[in-house]
Amino acid sequence: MNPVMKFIHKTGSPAFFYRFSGLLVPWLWAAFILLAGWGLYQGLWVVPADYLQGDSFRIIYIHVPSAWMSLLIYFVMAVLGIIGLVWHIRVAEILSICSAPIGAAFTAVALITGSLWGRPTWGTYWVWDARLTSELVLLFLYLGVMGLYAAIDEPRKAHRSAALLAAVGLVNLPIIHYSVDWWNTLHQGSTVSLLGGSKMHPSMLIPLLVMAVAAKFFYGANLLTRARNHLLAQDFRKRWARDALLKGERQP
Amino acid sequence: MSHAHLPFILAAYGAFALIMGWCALAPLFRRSRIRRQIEHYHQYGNHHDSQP
Amino acid sequence: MSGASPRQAFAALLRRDLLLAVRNRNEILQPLLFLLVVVSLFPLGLGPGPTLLGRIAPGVIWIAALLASMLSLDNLFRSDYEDGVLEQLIVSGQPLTVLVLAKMLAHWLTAGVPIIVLCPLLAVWLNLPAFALPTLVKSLLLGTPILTLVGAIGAALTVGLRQGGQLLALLVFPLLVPVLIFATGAVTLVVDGVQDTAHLGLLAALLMLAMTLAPFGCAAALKISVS
Repeated sequence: MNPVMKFIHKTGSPAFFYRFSGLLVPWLWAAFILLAGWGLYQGLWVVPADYLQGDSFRIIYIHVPSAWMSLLIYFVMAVLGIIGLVWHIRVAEILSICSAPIGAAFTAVALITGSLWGRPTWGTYWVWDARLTSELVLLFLYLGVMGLYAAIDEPRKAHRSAALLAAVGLVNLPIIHYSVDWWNTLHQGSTVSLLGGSKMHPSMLIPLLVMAVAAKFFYGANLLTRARNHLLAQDFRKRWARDALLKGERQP
Repeated sequence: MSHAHLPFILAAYGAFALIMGWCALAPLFRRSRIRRQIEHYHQYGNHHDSQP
Repeated sequence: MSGASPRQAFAALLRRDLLLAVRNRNEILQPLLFLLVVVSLFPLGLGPGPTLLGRIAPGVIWIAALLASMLSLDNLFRSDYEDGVLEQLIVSGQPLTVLVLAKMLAHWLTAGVPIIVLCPLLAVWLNLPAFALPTLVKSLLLGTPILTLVGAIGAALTVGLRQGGQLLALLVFPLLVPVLIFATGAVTLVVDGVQDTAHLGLLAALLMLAMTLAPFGCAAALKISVS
C-alpha cells in the first residue's frame, strides 16, 4: 500500500488522529499568528488610506477574508460530510460537524464588518446588496446544520442527518448566490458594491491575500482542536481517551 | 487616520476579535469539562471498553 | 406487497395518501385558513392603501404560501412514522425514491393545488392588477411543486424530532430563497410591464432540478432518520 493511502487509513483510528493532529495544531497557530500579524500591521498602518473611501476601507482586511472563508468552510464541511456519509469514515463526520461553528463565526464576522463598512460608505448600517444578503442566507444554512445536529440525540444519526443537510445546502449554494445576484440587480438597477470601482494596488492587495491565507491556518488549528475535543467527548469511556488525556500531553 | 471613520474601524476589528477569539477559546473551556469527565469515569476503576 | 412492480406500488401509495387526505379534511383546510389569516395580517399591519398593497402583493402571497406549505409538510411523514408505516415502506423492497415520489405527488395535490386555487383570490384582495394574475398562477404552478419537493427533504430529516415543525421551516427556508425570488420577481416584472418569461423559465429549470434530485435526497434522509 502506498504511503499516502497508508496515512489516510491510519487517520481513521481515533487515537492516531488525536495524536497526529495534536502535533500539528501548535504549528498551525504559529503560522496564523505570524501571517495575521504581518497582514494586520500592513493593513492598519502601512497601507495608505483609500482615495475614495478614506480609512474605512481597512475593514476590507477582515471582511473579505471572512467572506471567502465562510464559503470555503461550507464547501469543506459539505464534502467531508458526504465522505463520512458515503464511506462511513468517522473522522470525516467529526471534522465536518466541527467545521460548522467556525464557518458560522466567519459568516457573522463578514456580516458585521460588512455592515460597519457600509455605514461610512453608504450612510446606512445595512445594505441589501448581493454579497451581504448571500452571506445572510449562508448564515441561516450554517445555523440550520448546527440546529439539526443539536436536535438529534443519537450521535450517528445526528452526524449523518447534518451531513445530508450540508450536502443539500451545497447544491443549493450556487443557485442561491445567483438568484440573490439577480434579485439585487432587479431591485436596485445598478450594481452596488462595497468595493466600488477602486482597483486594488498590489500594496493594498498583498496584505489581503496574506490575511486570507492566515484565515485558513486559523480554520485548520481551530478545527483540529474542536475535532480532538469531539473525539474525546464521544470516546470518553474508552481506554485510548484515558491514555491520551491522563498520560499527560505536552500540548495544552 | 481620519477620525470620523475610527469608531467604525474599531467596532469592526473589535467584533472580529471578539467573535474569532470566542471561536478559538471555546474549545479550551470544553476541554477542561471533558477532562473532568474522563478523570471521573476512569477513577473508580471502571471497566474500559474492550476496544482500545 | 411482494411481486408488485414499482409502478403499482407508486399508484397504491398515491391512492392511499389521497384517501387519507380526503378523510382528514381538516389537515387540508388548516393550512389554507392559515394562508388566509396571514395574508390579511399585512393590510392590518401596513395600512389599507391600495397602491402599497398592490405592490407588495406578490411577495406577501408567496411568503404566505411558503409558510402554509411548511405547516402541511410537517405531517408528510410524521403520522406514518408514528404508526410504523414509514419503516415498512423503507424495508418493503420497493425503490424508496418511487415511494417518496408518490407521497410528494399526493402532498402537492392536496396541499399545493388548493394554494394555487386560493391565491389568485387573495391577490385580488390585495389589489394585484388583474393582468398579473396569470403570471401569479404560473409562478404558483411551477413553484409549489418545488416547495413540496425540497420541503420533503426537510420533513424527512426532522421526522420524529420534538420541535420538528419549527426546525423544518428553518432548515428549508434558505433553500427556497431562489424560488421566492424568481416567483415574486416574475409577477412584479409583469406588473411593471416587463416580460415574465425569463423568471418563469428559471423557475421551470429549478423545478426540473428539484424533480430529479429531491426524491433521492429525501429517500436518503428517510433512511437516516428511521434507522
